[in-house]
Amino acid sequence: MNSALIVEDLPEIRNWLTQVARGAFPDLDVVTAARLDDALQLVDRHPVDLALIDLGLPDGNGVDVVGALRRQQPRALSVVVTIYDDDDHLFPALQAGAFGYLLKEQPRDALVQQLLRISQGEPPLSPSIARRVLSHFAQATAQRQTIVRQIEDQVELTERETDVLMRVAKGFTLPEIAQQLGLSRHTVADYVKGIYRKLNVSSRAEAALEALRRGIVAQ
Amino acid sequence: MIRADTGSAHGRALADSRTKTVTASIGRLLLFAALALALWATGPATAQPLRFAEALASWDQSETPPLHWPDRVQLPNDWSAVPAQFQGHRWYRLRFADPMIELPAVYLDRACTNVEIWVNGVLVGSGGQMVEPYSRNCYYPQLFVIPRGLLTPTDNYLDVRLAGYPLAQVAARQRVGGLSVIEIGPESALRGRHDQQLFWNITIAQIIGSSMSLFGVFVLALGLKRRQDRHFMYFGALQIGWALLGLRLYLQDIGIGGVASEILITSMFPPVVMLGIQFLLQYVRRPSRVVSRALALQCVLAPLALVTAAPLHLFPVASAVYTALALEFVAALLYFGVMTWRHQRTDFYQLGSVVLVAGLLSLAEIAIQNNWLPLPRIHLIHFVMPVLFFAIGLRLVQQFAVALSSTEQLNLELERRVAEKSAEIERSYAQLSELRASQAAQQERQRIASDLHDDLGAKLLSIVHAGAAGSDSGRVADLARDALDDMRLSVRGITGASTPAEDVLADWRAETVERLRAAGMQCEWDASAAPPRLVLPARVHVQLTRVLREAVSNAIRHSAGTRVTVRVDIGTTSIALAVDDNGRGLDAARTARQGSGQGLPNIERRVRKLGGSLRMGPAAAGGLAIRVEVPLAPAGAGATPADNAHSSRTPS
Repeated sequence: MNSALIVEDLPEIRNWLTQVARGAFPDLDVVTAARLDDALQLVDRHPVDLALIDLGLPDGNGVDVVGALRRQQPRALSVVVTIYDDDDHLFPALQAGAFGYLLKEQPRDALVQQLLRISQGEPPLSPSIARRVLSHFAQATAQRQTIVRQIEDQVELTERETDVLMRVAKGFTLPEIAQQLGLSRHTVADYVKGIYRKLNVSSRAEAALEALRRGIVAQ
Repeated sequence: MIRADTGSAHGRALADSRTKTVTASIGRLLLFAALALALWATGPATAQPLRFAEALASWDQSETPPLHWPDRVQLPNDWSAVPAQFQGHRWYRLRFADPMIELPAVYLDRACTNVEIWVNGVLVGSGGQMVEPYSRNCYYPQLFVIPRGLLTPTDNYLDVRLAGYPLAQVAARQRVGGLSVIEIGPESALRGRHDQQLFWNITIAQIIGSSMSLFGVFVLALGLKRRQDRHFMYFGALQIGWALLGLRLYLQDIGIGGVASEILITSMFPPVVMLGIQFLLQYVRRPSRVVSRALALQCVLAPLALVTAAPLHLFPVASAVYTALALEFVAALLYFGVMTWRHQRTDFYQLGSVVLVAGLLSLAEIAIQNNWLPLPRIHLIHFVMPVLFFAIGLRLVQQFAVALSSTEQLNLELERRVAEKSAEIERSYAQLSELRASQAAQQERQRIASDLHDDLGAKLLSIVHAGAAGSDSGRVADLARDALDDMRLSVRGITGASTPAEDVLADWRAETVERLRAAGMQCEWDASAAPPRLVLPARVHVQLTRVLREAVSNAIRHSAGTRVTVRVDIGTTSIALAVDDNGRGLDAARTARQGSGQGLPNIERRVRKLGGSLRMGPAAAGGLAIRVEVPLAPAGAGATPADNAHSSRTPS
């Protein structure tokens, strides 16, 4: 990690997040934005490896920054930072391409640890998020059966990935799951990464399809 | 079932106006009929036909004109004085000169029961059977053309053989043997007379008979549909009966002998009169079982009496029967009049005239029968009775229509009222549900507000005091963190819908295991499967989450143990939570509590507010055991267990 983008409107928290980011990655080059439009401009012009994005911005939702980054800088790692821990707020961010989330009020050290873990490819996955992911893919499958046109970007979860998701949904933690399946933590983490990636792809495809459908209908 | 009151005020008003027009029309019709009959009765006398009011007669029973003519009689001649046991015919002779007309004919107004016409010894015409059973021509005028070839210029003899019955052998004076004035004249003129008489005697009777029977069938059908207005049925049957009685006027050859047919005819009268009387009684709603039985008995006795009296005493017995019937009928009419005067005044006025005329006609018929009045040329009763029937029939139909429309009105009214009431009930029900819903919502809001006040308020308060007391910023941050966490939970409680119990268990497990792992402690998680489709209300979910968190926090912070065992039991009627650690135990925990947050007392407060129970004591492994049991509201108000029967767990 060489450079990072931090999008947060409250200055104290902006500073604090900068500290957290530098705590995980010393000598990190940080650019900040306090508003959505500024952030989008930066995404256009400034290449970054990491982004910490607040969802509650004064002129919009940080999810748009996540989406922009995914499109324009696919190799950047997006992490949303938020007060809300409920899946209503988090799931759209994950669908847009975020790789994880941090809760703002947690102690600095805890956040650094979490950030490191995310950057090392072990994204968090809570039971409620897992439930949402499962239902999303179940819906996508059902929808595909009614759609005549085949969209080449439609993806499905593998059996293994579904298994992991279901265990998470039941309340087992990732280390426990690794033990139950006889896999290493790293392997399980890879599964979760794959799940998130597919979620993003699937969500984008769904959005495109919806737009297409609307476009057809509008005609 | 709604029984429409045909005497209702509305019905009467309707009836009044309509029946006034009807009675007016009938009045006009009667007047016209009377005028027409009067005109015809006076009739244009033709100067041309020869009228013979005198004739020679002979009781000779030969089949050809006899040689001797001992008697001289006046025409019309009737057989009232003929001996009772007589059976046979009488000859009559006229002498006439050739009338010098192209087509001469002989016309007889009345020849009862049957005639043969001979001119100059040659049979010219006959009305039908001249041997028993005679053709019944009492009501038929007779016209026969005389072949010119038979006539001589001066001396021509017209012989009439009349077959008939003496008075004693008939039941009605109209059918006693008799010969009217004989007329000889041009066929054209006499044809007109003949056709007129035929029309008024026979054709009219046939027309009336058929239309009356049709009308009777119609009214009978109506009556069958309306069993509670039995007078309809009786009236319909009466009309059909009267039409059948009319057959006697124009059926000529019925195949049975004269006396037998007289008995048959007379026997038909008691049933018809019975129908008439029953109709009157039913109309005023005063049927009498005694009267019905008596009338039925009469129907049987009358024929028996007639059969016994035949053939020589038929007339007196028949007269007695007729008189009795007429008197019974008039009595019934009087009763009818009295009853309608008392109870159904409109009916009295409308049908009063009808009833009066019917009564007078019946009395007139009796007078004719008993020879107190001469035999009239035309029988008014044949014409007037149908008109009366028609008037009554119209009245009945009008009654029916009024009853129908008032029923319909009633139905509409009822429907309207029912609709009104239903709308009212629906409105108040909607209001009630609205009220209940808003009350429930209000209560829930109050509970949430109270929780918020207690939990968040308390935490923020401790931050205030910690800050004021100069505690280190780390501690303040921890307290603030707690408060933020709590706020999120409260928000979920306010905005969140009810969560499936299975998902709650998963969330609790993940969080607890993670927290303990982060704190470097072992976690033993033991939870049975929640009842399928069980949903926890938001408030219970949120408060129990707090309870669990506080218990686990307490174990992390103060137990100084290494392992925490959590058991969760979610049943259909309650939730049981058990948190055990292997640390220092109760007393030590209590003392440690002084300087800590409000963990354990908080648990106590929350559990009490949820209406549950809390027990704390030493754990098997030496540490603290916390036992919490919280009830779930019955289905509908809080948790909604889909099928209690299938729950696999019983609350411990």
